Amino acid sequence: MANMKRIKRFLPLYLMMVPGLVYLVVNNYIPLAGLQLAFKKFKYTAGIWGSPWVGFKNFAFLFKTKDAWMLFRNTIGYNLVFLVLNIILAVAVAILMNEIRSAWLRQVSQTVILIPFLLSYVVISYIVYAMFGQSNGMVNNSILKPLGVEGISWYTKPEYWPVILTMVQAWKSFGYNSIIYYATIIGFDRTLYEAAAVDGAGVWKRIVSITLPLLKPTVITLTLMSIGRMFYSDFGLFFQVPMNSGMLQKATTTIDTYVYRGLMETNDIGRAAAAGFLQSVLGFVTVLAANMFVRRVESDNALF
Amino acid sequence: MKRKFKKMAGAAVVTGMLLPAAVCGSGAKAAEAEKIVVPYMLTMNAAEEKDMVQEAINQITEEKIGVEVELLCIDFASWSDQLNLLLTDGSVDLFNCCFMSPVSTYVDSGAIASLDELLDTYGTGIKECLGEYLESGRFDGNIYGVPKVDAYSNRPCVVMDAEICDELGIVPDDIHNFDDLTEVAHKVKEAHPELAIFPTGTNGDFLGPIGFDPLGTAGNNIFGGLILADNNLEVVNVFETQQFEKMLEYTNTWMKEGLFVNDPMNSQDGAVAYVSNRQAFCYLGGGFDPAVAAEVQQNNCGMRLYGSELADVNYATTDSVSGMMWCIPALSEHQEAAMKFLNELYVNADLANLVCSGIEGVHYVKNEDGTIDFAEGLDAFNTGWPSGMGTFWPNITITMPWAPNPPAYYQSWIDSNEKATLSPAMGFTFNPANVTDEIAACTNVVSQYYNTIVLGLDDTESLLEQFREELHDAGIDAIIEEKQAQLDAWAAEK
Repeated sequence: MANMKRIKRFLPLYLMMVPGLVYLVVNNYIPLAGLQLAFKKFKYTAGIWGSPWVGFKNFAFLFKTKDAWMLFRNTIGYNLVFLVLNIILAVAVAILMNEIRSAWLRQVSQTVILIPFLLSYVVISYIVYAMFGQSNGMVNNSILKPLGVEGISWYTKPEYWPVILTMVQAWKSFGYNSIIYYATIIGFDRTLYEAAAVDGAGVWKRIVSITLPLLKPTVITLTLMSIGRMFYSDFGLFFQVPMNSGMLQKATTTIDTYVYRGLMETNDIGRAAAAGFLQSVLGFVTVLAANMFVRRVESDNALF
Repeated sequence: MKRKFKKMAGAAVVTGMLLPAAVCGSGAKAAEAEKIVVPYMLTMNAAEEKDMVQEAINQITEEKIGVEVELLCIDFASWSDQLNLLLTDGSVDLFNCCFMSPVSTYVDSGAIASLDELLDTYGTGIKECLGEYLESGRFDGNIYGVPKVDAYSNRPCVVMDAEICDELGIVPDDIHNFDDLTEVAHKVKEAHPELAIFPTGTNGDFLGPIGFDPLGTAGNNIFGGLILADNNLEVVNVFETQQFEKMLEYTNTWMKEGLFVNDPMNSQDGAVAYVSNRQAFCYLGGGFDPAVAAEVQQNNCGMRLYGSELADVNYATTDSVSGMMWCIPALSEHQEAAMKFLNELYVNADLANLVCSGIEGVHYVKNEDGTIDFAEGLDAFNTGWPSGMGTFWPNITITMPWAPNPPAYYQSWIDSNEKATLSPAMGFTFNPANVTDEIAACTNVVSQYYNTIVLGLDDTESLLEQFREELHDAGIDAIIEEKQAQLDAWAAEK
């Protein structure tokens, strides 16, 4: 009885929830049935359910070259670096932004740091090219030349690209990430800061003792969420930005670009599904592991 | 995974949009005409007067073969994606399998129907038109694709800026190979140091002069082929031939002499764009006749072009014949009507003229000599029916050629086929199903090394060694073995 009453009372809210739920089911749950394609040889005439099973055969192409480990090393390596760097940069910028007293300056800087995030990687690839192009690039012409150093053929030397790609990625995403942290910081209880100031805590002391500890749950949540994407890579960053240069592939090949290059010609649904399946399963396992770790150390902040 | 499904959902939406159109279209027409959907590719111009042309097509086809045709316009850029989706639910009935995955992959995934019976019943005109060339659509014993009527042979050639040639007294007929071309390149570079000679390494067809049959693997991904000069059925690793090394010598020297554009690795534009922007002097390409290869690009470039041959033989291979294949989706419910219409496209000159050039008096007017010209006030850019898309359709050779081509223009295409040197593997099609993993891996290796080696950006000798080694590791030998086995079986059957 009481239940019925409660349902009735919240009925409008339930109704408002329906479109979202439908979206979730249609877009995120029904497609799960398609995961079977990873283990099937897709036949157009037989459809998804009727196509024959082939076991793990679709996964083999990922491990065919002797550089297979390189795919995983690159994908995970870059993601780990991005993860750590993004947190440090974003938190630092968010805290700095919080310390800006002039409202005008704060608004301008918020806008300016967001600009890179709004650019597409195709545009960014040409900005990068304008900097590192061999004959007309800024670095070779305006920095190295005046210093008397001979220009470097950037697009043929893979050793520089881990640094370049990391810089590009950080530059593009730090603005957006820091806005998230900044939004959290301005929600903190001001009285804590005032009390600390009365007790004689300086700016640095307040950051270390109040802001950072309060920020920890947000950092952990966002980190856990990005760990789920550990085995994915931003196709734009690794394919467009190095301009698909063959010489750089040792440093720029990730699972996504390898799959794209290998299957572009063949329209092979089963193998593409297999690659996606592997990425999401590995990502899922990593999230579970990371969450387990967090739960053990700081059970309050675990996702589940 | 999820992305795949969104695509399929997209296909559902597309079909959803098509259905009402289908209902409206068929209402007024004769009830007995069977309706088929045929996708048409849009490139530079939108087909603004599509409905008008479609109506004219139906006037011919409804009466003659009882088929009503709906043209489905798809933009070039999304052609392959859209069609792959449309194939999943049979909402198209006949399509040109160009700029998509190789026909063999659609055979393998069961996306297209075997055509033998349909050809026997409704395709006699096609059989007559194509003769032996029909065999290049045979996969695993059955015909799955029908090649268009075309000049099938291919000769590596160079297409050059005619103004500069005239200025420096360069005669296109004097160029016959890479040595002659190098000489010309030096001459042009001296007179026009600001100009690059060759656009890019990524788009140039440097492999052409080697003269090989790629046996079904496309682009730079030559995983085993026949050296045509040897005229035998021995599949070799083209990247390990002397001919390939010889080609590298030329391109590497050109690079050292500064004959390529700056930063060729990063140039993303097509080779032709460099010439039309007057940044480069020439580009390498192919065609059955160098002069024609130059001619077809003149309009695109808005400048005069000369073409010269870079090898003295015109080879025809299965791949050069099967560049554009017409196929019928396995899920189509109107396969017979589709075949009837396809057959009509091969033999009915009125219909061919209509699809290739538009409507007489609206889009074109006849000249006295049997050629056609744009109707008054129209040109290649403002016409409502794209004029340069004739080669998209199965048989342009029975249409009236556009002036200033001679009236017998297309006859010269047909004639060139008789003069062509056929590859010993002509008619053989490779089924890659057993070595798909190896092909995916080797494709990645080629994309890593090929351009660097061709342009000599690093130590070519050691890179070439690495390249070959990694191809072995990636399984190129398995691909070659598979090709040889299939080829031997094919030859034995023949």
